[in-house]
Amino acid sequence: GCSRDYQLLLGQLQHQANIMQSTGMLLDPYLHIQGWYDSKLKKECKEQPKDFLSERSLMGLSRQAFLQTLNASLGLILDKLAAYLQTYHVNMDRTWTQPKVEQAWKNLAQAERFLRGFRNNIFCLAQLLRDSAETAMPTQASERRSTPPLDHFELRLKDCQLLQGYHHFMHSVGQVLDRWKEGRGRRRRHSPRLRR
Amino acid sequence: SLEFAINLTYQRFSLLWSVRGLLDHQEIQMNFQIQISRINESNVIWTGNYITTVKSKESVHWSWESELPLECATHFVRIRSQVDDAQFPELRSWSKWTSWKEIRVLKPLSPGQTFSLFPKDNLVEAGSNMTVCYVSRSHGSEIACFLETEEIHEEEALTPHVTVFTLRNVSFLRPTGTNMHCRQKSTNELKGGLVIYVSKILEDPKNFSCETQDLKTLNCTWDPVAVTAPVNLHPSKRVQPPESYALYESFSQETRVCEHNTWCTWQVAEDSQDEYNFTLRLQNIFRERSVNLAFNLTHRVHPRPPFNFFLESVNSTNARVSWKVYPLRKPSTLLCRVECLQDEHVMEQQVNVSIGMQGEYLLSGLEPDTQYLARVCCAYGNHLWKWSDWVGQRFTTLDVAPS
Repeated sequence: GCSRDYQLLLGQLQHQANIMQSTGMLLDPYLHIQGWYDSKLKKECKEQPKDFLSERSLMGLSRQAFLQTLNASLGLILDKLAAYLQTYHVNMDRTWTQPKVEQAWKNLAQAERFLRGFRNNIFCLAQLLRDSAETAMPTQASERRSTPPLDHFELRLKDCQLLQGYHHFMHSVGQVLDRWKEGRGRRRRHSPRLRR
Repeated sequence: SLEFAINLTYQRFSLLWSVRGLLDHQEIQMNFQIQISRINESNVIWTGNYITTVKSKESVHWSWESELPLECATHFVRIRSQVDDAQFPELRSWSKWTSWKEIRVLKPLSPGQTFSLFPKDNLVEAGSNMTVCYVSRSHGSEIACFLETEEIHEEEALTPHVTVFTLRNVSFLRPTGTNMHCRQKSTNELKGGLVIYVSKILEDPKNFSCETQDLKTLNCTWDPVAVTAPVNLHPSKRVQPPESYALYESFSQETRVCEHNTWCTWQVAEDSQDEYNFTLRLQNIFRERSVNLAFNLTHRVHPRPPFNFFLESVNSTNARVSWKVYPLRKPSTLLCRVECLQDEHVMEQQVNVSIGMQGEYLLSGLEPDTQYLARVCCAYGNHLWKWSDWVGQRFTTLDVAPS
């Protein structure tokens, strides 16, 4: 069920966004699993501007559009996490992994549970705002642009850049929520398409 | 005419050709000599013979695996033939060579791409050598490549745009593969990379054992083999399946593919023999392992635990226990053991009772007003292999009535 306490929900979202800023939640375990953590390749995980909206863009969104953008981003990351964890469970009984990597898998599983809770709070806050007269925005399906098939190295690079960008995006989300807390968030504006 | 098909997953190309001039339904043994060149026709790298029986109107099929990724060099192939058949001793002279057939992977670099490493997402066996190469639009001398964190020095410029590395004795590091990448020396810019999946060398399955609960179904088990299935975090991208298991029985000459990697069941035919000789075959794309087990079915009965265990007529010194057992296919008797335990002290009253479908026993000499655990387990009477699990119940004897 959803809390009807706006300040409580906002506080929880802020707390969750702050936690999610740490690369220890997602990117680092991912790099450990892929063997990139102690390698020069870690430096290649630079965020790509196209992956997530900038803080400035987020600030310009209405609250409803902001929550919707946040929800879509979490969905994207949750889909990736689900795919990773699924391959782990399939191979778990015949795969030999080092303790550090075993812990990394656990961290990813924990992050998935955390993100589900995060997403639930977003839903509750959006519902609360809807009830207070803001009109609901349809969920924007992210555009799926066809790209040439990537090999595993390219997929790893793309994913680590996405996760790096996601942690920075969480920083931006925290900033926006701070402004809401201070009562200076934007109330209504036409919402731009989710850039991908 | 010579036709070919390229399989980049296995770095292999297949050739298909036909032989003209055979009469209908004629079969003739022929020897085909095949030559393969690389980069240019004059650079012959492999010559081999392929002897096969050719049938009229049927094509001949042959394939060749390249140690060098096919994306990195154009290959050329030609063949010639010779009749190698006792029916036609006079036709032993070699034919002319076919013209060279060019085998090229079109566009190893996609539009806008300046560099790429090959083979992509390959699976190799631990301890093997592997050839990796890169194609670069700019000359290769300014590129440095690393296997994990170590720079690779053993490289050879095949052409100004293609450089080849030989990775020796590739070792297993982690299920998600070993990482290789290359950088521009001057700018340290990442040019590209590879994931090399390394599978441990298949070991023989250990502790292979079979037993039956009912003489109808055999359940074979073995220890999990420490094989590393490549963990590919991108399920959409296939990496060859790890390994497969199968049971082969030599008397019946039947084979059953097993779905699980630590156990498998085998249905015993109604009128089949008692003697069995099983081979457990474990296979992956690199090698096969097997282990044998011969036994008499009736020497491998591990019955299910008894059921309907009841305690009746409990008084201050006696108690009657009864139980049922699951039937076995063949008419047979089960040996059952009855125990009576008091707290941690094992006051054992054990007896072997041969029974058909139903068993019962009177426990006597018990202490009044005392708690006991009565339990029973059974084994196959004809040949004891394993006792079943216990089933039992706690009870307290009655107090002695005041006299």
